[in-house]
Amino acid sequence: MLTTSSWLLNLRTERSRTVSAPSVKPFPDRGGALDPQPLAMRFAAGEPAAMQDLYRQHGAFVFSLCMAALRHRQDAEDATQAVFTRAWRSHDTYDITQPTGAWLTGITRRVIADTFARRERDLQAARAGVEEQVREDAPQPTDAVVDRVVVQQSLDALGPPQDEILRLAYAEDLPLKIIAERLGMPLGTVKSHVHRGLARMRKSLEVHSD
Amino acid sequence: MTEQFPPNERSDSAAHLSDHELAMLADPRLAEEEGAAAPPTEDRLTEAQRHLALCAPCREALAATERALNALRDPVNLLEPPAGLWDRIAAEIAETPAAPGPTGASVHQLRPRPTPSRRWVPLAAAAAGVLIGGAAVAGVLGQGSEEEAPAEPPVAAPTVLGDAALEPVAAEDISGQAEMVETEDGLLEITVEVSEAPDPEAGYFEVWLRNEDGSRLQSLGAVTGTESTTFQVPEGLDLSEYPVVDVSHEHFDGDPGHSGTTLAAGPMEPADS
Ligand SMILES: [Zn+2]
Repeated sequence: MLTTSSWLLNLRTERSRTVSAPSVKPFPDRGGALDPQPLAMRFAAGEPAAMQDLYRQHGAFVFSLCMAALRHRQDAEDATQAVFTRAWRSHDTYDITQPTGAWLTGITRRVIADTFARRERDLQAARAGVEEQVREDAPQPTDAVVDRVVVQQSLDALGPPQDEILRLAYAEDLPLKIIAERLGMPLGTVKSHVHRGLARMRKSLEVHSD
Repeated sequence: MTEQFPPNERSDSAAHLSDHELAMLADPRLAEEEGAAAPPTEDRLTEAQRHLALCAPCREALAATERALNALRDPVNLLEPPAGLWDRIAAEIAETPAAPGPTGASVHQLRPRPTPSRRWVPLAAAAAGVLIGGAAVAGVLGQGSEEEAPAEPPVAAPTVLGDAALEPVAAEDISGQAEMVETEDGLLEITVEVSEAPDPEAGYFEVWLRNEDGSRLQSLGAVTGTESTTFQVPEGLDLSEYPVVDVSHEHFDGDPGHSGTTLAAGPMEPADS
């Protein structure tokens, strides 16, 4: 019943702007299993097995981020390896109040920056004494790449029909009315899905932007 | 039109922009053809613009919404890393010992007492039967209009908002109960009782509020015995982000963080109305 489950949601949210999405539930559903030893805590405690779980959970995200930014498979694999070994070495600096995914995003940004810096140095060395070449296509700023991968991950996690509606509305740039016709839904329902989906995307970006 | 949107908060110019308004500002297509029941869209957006000019957090939220739109317009493929990559990482990690974290060994120095099935007596039993409904809570919070709020009981009693059964997590079979009440002053308090007390030499128990995966944590304080301990919930804490009560085993090591050893935990459930 909505009243008892939604009251806590409203309880302390006036000062916190991140919680107005209807999809946020105040308490977990009864069906949702409680993680007995949360990964974030096991990782912070330096439990070796937590490392593999961390990789299972975030490996595709980190690798995708490296691929999108570096556009080079071997570099992306090396960078992913560097991210997780760095994470392991510095787990004692991990702030457990931060989601592990967001923390790994920070490390990945630095590893990507290091890779670009190394490429630049290699390029300078190769260029020594040679005429200035036309600069190759400049890579997209890492911030925008992070946004794209974070949003993609968040979009994939949305599930139907919201993910499909957002894809049609933005990747395909279809008018909302056409989407409504195509999916046989009232226009208001389509808009509502877009609203909720966008709020989720925004929040995932906020989490990963620190 | 039964779609549930966040309420139109623009009537109160101090309120932040709703998700709904942020999305309409970022994508004007969403503002077209609002239902006839909705207030005139033009007015709402003008009000929203006025608020934006004055409010940095809302400008940032709008910027993040626009970034989300840009990212959605430029999708990227998520890729699984190659099969052998984890083995390479594991091999490198094996050669790179991490700084030693706390081990679980000392947990076994705890001396469990064989009286785990003590009954939980709600401290705020006086408040049992208080109906918690949207209107009543809105009244408590001063959000509802005066006319809608039900008459308050003559003596303001703590209102039981929810409780949690703390199930054993570690091998020690320590369990407990937690109850959240709202005091007559409008403060939130959590009373926690655990089935066993820590051996003082082996550290202490600490009570936390956290989310399901432990990525958000808020310490409430230490528990030293089996008698119930009451903590005040920090004001402004968004409880929807911290739905789980967690009792950890901590050591006197000067580290204020969670040790990683949860003894008992359970989700806070709204009180039955
Ligand atoms: Zn604002």
